[in-house]
Amino acid sequence: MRRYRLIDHTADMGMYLYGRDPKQVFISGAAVLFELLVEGRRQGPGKWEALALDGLDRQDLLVQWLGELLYIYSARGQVLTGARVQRLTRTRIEAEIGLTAFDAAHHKRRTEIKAVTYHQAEFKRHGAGWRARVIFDV
Amino acid sequence: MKIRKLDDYRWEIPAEGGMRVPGLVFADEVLIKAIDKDNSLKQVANVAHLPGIVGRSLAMPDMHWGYGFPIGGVAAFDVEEGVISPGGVGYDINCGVRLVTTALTQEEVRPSIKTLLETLYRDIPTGLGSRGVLKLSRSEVRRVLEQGSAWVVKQGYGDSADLEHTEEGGAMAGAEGEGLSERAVARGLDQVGTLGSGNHFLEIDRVETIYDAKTAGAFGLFEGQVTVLIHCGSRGLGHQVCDDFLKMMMRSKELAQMDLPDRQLASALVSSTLGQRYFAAMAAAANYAWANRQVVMHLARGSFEKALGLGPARLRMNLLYDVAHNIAKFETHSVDGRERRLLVHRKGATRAFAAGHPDVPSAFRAVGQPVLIPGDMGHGSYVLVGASGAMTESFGSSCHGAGRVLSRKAAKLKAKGRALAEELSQAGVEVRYTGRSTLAEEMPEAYKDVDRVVEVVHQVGLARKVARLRPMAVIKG
Repeated sequence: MRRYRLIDHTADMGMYLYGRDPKQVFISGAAVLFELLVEGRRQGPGKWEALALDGLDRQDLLVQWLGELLYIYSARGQVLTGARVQRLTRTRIEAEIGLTAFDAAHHKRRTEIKAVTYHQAEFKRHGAGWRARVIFDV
Repeated sequence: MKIRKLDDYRWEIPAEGGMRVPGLVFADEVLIKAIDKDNSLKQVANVAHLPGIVGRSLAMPDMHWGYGFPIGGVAAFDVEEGVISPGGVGYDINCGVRLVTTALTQEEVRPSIKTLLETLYRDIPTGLGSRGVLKLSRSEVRRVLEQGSAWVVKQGYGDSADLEHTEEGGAMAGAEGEGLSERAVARGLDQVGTLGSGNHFLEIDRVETIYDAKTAGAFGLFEGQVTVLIHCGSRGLGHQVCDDFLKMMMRSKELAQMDLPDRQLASALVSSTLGQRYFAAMAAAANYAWANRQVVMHLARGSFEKALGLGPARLRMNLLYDVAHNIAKFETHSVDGRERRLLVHRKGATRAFAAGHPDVPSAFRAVGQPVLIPGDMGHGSYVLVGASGAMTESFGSSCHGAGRVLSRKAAKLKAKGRALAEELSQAGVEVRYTGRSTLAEEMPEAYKDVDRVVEVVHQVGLARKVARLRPMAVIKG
């Protein structure tokens, strides 16, 4: 099953995320975000930390999730090495994220993403699975 | 999207459904066809749904698809019944541009252009994750947020004449540093004096053509003159402010009653506590951006001195003007023959006040406000002057650039296999860049024809052509 498809937006960048269940959409979103941000080795070891977020609904929760991961990268200089979603409801995610410090010897910055926007955000059933759409401000 | 041609340069989107006012797009036949290919006309209509919008939901000829508001969108709101929208300002609060004039001619600079470019590239932190020469404490960041350019000038980065030539004097009234989150402040600790990446740049230009000798004289421009154009914004601090307040507005009870077509348009009443808090934080982030451009300009002055071995008296690197592209401001405009206090949102648009307006610096009041329009790195940029049409038709606004026509992906595809830097060098433009993909995304073909865009605002009478600049060297992040 494809994980994502990039959306050709005039100024910014968007993507459709796919998963057999909402959990997989969240995990795919995290991985694809970091594929866009960083070139190079993103595997562990790294350290794991807990992340819990609340949203108004699934769309908002996905924007919060990706926005928080973007903040961790942009402001704390940490690169995602993995994500485990332990609990997911329509309005809350509880996860563990693997992080390693950005290191110019192993990582190269790829695209600057300023923010994860709410523009055209969606999260819905798609065939036998789920599909979400997010647009980034780049 | 239903659109009706009013004349050669005006296109109306009739008010339908939940639209409170019609939309109005300034464009010619060619530009409107390009605009119609993406979702930006729908976004003009979406903005027209916002409560308290006055006149029309406007869009400039450089408009393109953004998020929430279109890029190139202008909308004014009643201060009692209207809203303030973080999406109408954007993540890069007070992303803007400043133009520095010099006493040098292109003949004097051309032989040293590569050395000069290398020196600028070394001295000015550029690119993704760049960190500034200033390492500020939290209390110093708050001073920058409240005093803007004036604070960095006090630290020795420039002089007080620079402040007079900056929109709002480089410090917007009503800014409150205390209103920013800890995250926003933390992101501002080491980014003053950095260019960033994406479409941000520093460009050395030469004045190629003068269209209006009198105004060019008042602006200190002459043919063959070397100038420096700087484009950057409020960096991570501004992004965080927008993010924080969008989140808060999304959760407000007020918003539920607004019934908006796009969540990115989340807003608060201007008169509400949340609306006022956002305005104060936005103004603070705008001040941070002015301080950022002020320090970048100061570093550029130093680079010129070092690379060319000339002193400040010989270089005469004076700030012509600094304008904001992404901002919301309280302004008084005449609407249906009545003076009204409005909150004007410019999202990828430039203030363009005409001659005589009290907010135009005294040095330019007789001719009008300088309006700076960066084009693309291959073709050129413009200096315009605010004209009376802006005061009657666009809440004192004009376009802000050429506007993208290719998506970043399409630009990269087009650039594949090409040596862009060499192509530009052969065309007389030296380029220094951090990210190869940024160079491809920002290639000249990715943008609309700036001459055509500027011709529209000139013909409509929003701003008049004063001079055209031709790039000599560019730094991209």
